[in-house]
Amino acid sequence: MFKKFSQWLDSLEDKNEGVENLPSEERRRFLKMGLTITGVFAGGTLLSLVSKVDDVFGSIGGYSERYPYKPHYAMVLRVDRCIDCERCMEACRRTNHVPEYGWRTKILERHIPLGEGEWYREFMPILCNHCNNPPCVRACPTQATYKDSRTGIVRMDYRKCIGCKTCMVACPYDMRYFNEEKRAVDKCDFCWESRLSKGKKLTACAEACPAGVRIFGDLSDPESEVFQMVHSETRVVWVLRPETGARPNVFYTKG
Amino acid sequence: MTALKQINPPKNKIIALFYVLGGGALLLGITTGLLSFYLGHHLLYGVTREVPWGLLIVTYASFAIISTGLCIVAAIGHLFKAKTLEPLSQRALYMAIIAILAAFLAIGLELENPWRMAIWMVLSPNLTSNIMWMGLFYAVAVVLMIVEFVLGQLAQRKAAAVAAGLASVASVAGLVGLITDILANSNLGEVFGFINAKPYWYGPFLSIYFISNACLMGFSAIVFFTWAAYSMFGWEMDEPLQKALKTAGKFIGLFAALVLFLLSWWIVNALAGKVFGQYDTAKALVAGPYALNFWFFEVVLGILVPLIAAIVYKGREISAMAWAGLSAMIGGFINRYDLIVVPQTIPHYQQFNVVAPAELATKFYPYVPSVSEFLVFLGALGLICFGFVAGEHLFKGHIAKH
Repeated sequence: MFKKFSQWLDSLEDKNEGVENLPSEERRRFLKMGLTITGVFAGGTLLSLVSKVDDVFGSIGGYSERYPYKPHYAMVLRVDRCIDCERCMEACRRTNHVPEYGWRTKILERHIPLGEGEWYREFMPILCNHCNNPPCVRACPTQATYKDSRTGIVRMDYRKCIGCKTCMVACPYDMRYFNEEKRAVDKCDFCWESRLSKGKKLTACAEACPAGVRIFGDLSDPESEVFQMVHSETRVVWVLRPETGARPNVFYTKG
Repeated sequence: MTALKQINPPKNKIIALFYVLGGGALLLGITTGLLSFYLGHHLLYGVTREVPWGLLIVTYASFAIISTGLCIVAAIGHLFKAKTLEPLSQRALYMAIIAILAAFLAIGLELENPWRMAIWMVLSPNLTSNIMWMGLFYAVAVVLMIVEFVLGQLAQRKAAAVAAGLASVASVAGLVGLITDILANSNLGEVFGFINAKPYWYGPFLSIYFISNACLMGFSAIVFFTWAAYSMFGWEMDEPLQKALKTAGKFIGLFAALVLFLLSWWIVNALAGKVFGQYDTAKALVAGPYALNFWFFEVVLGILVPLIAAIVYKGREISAMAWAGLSAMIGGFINRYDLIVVPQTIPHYQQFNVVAPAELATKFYPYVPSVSEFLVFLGALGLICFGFVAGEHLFKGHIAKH
């Protein structure tokens, strides 16, 4: 009985085309159109941010005049360049002493449908989005996780973590794990503790990437590559799960 | 002054069973929980990175909701002087305390570092966190409920003039306790309701849903435990108590109807809206891997049995309503399980046509409670069973003497 009911529900779903089934040619046409009217289909997630600076600020809206952090660390990921060599994952693991059972960054393999039985492969790296409105920080009862007031990095104060794991549930991106050795939740800190605080300019993953996928820098610096990519009038830039209102500082683009 | 009248011999074997099984389960649960701190939760508990909240959070939420419901039932009789329900108040208050202690036991053994809570929730509280407010309000509520209960007991042993003074202090403690308990319960709802990463939870609905469920659980629990006490100990129910239970039976039906109303719209809304996360969760419930949980436990046992029993018997058949109350509590527990676990099983990147790595490309993240989690759950349940019979012995049927 449940199976039939399930099939009936599926049949309802089929009537809605959905954005995930758009063939790539249509996507391209749509993207071109988006340059003028602002809008892009980004792998199943609809987001409108192209063409004008104000729209680019789709995820960081309200900060177009002045960034709240200096430096305002951000990362742009050029997904079509990723070859899934996993050097970024390895560098992260080694640099930040991430145990075997956990991870701070990962590469997802996607098969994006082109049409009937056709798809193309894309590798999508994921890491903490260091959101401007981080759901994990709001949920933590003891401020064990917090938004660094100077850099905007979402960091951990391990000794305050009670292990309620609310932050893990609240993160829309699955970016947190419980580190048994630290007896606390652990996550990407843009290599703040291991590198940036010691004067290095790049995260371990960005430095290790042989294909130039991960562009790391200061979004509040007009000279930086991340600023120029995110503010480019012709470049399509998107963020993941914008509907959650988290306003990430990790951006995705191609080319 | 009311006195208990023995009309049947007490069922000593069943009472002993409650003590032995309840106490045994409690000891086993505590031992397992303590072992999990020593060996590591990751080795003993079935929760994962993707599904971090499992059976023990479900146990906590379920027992906390029952406790709030019992606190409301106690307040209707005690504080608001609804004479009809007053005979239920003492037992309801006592069981509200036992239920919240069982909830604390479950979450205390679930948290990885509960000792840090005592330090950092004081030194570094996050005022935007619902967990923080929920913990604070439940902690205050349990203290006030204990104060109210103890003063109520003392008042019964003192002369009338002193008793009146104690009773009025108890009433103040009771009123503030009720308010903090409801605040705690609504924050429990918003622990989930504020999480926009899980669209099935997100919104103000859950605090409304939880308080409605608390009322259903409160009346179900009080009818069941009162009937169970009188059956087990062989006491005669006097007229006012019978009237109170019959009225409470009607309230079971009323709140079952309310919960049915809320759950129906929740599911219809999620199915029709097709929002990622909402739709997937609702579909997993009504026609997916959790369909048995949903239709049989949540809907039939949790709502329809108590609703139909209340309609058929008009709440008057006390033993039938007691079993219907137990059915509502079992169904309610599974409702909490589904409500908490299923939205977490929807993969974060489901919309992105992910095929690898396998653990993120799955249709549903797996979660099965481990044996250890089940033992800790049994420990919390054991505390309720043990506390229930001990309360009947210690406070002699919770009869108000003034």
